[in-house]
Amino acid sequence: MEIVIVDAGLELHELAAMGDCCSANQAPTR
Amino acid sequence: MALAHYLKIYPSPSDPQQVLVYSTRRAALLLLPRTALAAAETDTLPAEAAGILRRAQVVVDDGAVERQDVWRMNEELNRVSTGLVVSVVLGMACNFACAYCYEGGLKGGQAMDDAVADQLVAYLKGRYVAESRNRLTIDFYGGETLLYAERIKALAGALKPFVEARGGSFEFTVVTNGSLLTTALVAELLPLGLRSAKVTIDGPVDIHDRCRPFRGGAGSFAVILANLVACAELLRINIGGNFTRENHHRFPELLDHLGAVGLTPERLGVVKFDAVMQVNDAVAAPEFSGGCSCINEPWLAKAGVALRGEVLRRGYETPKITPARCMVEMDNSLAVHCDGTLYKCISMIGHPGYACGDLRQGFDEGCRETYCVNHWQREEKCRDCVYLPLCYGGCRYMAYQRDGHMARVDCRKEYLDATLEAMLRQDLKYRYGQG
Repeated sequence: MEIVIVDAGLELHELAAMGDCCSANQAPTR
Repeated sequence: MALAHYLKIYPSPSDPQQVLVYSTRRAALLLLPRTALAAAETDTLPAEAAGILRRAQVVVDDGAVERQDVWRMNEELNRVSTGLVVSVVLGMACNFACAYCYEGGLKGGQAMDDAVADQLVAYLKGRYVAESRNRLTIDFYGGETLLYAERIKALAGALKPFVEARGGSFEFTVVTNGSLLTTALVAELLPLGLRSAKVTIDGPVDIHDRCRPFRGGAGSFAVILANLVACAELLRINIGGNFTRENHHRFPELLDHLGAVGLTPERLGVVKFDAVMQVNDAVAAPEFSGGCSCINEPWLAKAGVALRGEVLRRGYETPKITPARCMVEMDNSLAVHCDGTLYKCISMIGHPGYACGDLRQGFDEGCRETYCVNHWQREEKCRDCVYLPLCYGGCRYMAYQRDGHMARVDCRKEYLDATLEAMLRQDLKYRYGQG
């Protein structure tokens, strides 16, 4: 039973450190 | 133990005996034998496999606890966040005349003066200490941000030593049209904490120069590209671009051009293209009518996925699909206008009904209600939605454009139904070299 973890994803603290959508420069059209 | 609720399961692209499993809660991506999936469904997984899948949040011990955790994710993020993230609009002057500018009606001479700058420094120092932060990040916006380079230097010069003296880290980014991003300026800003610049290029030269000309009408493409080539060694540069239904198919030409002038994947940060939004409020460019008013427009799913694939195929970095964090929901995120007014969303600057205080008085009570924090909890369709962690009600600015208020969610379900599998397959193939 081979399970392949392609991406382990994010722990909560990693997500917290990522910043919000807009500070990640995903704000609407500028 | 049971399969998690916040999972999407798709056929494996290469092996019919496998499935591709994605946790919308954790953004974990796995390839599982179908036998393992069946064992997880019947709670008959061997202990080792169960441990692996539990850590990836593919299986959970208690479905009720899982849902409660997802509902409380923003509260938890607020609890563990240690930074203070501030979007600062330095002024509204701009040397460009973009066809679709959503600040169009706000553009002009208004700029942060010395008194407001002093208030901003005092406000941020106060919050940094009072909230025991260990990181201060400022995203500088305009107008054209780099018309205010002296103000950036003064603000960073005041805040960086303050933060570092307390053992914290300070950094800032600039969102700029790129026309003033010179090596000389970057060399001055780097020691003050400049981390990255986001520059917008709207496709190949003819499209870009039509969409994003200088105010006098001259094309800006050549100036920007020359600056980027010169600065890419010094600074992480992220590329954005705004496409329409009519021109998206030509954006791959820009990617080829970037490579041809030496802006290869290893010399750039993130590359990400987004649809121009149709902005209907009083502060937008009033004559523009080619934008997208809803993320669920069918052409957008196809165009967005195709462009993402073109970016990844050429080896450029682009964001993964991860849980959404709207700054409205984050206690440690705020936006400051150049007049000292506070907002909870950078896109709502200039909308008086969404001003939430000022630098002298701080945030008003009632700010959470103004921005409809946790509005998704009132929506039946959100409560059990598998995409909830990726969305949490979507973009309030989009909802505001649609309804004139933010009380209802900006549902992403149709869009994610149409795109998520394809985007995960892109990641599998190009980002991870599998499938």
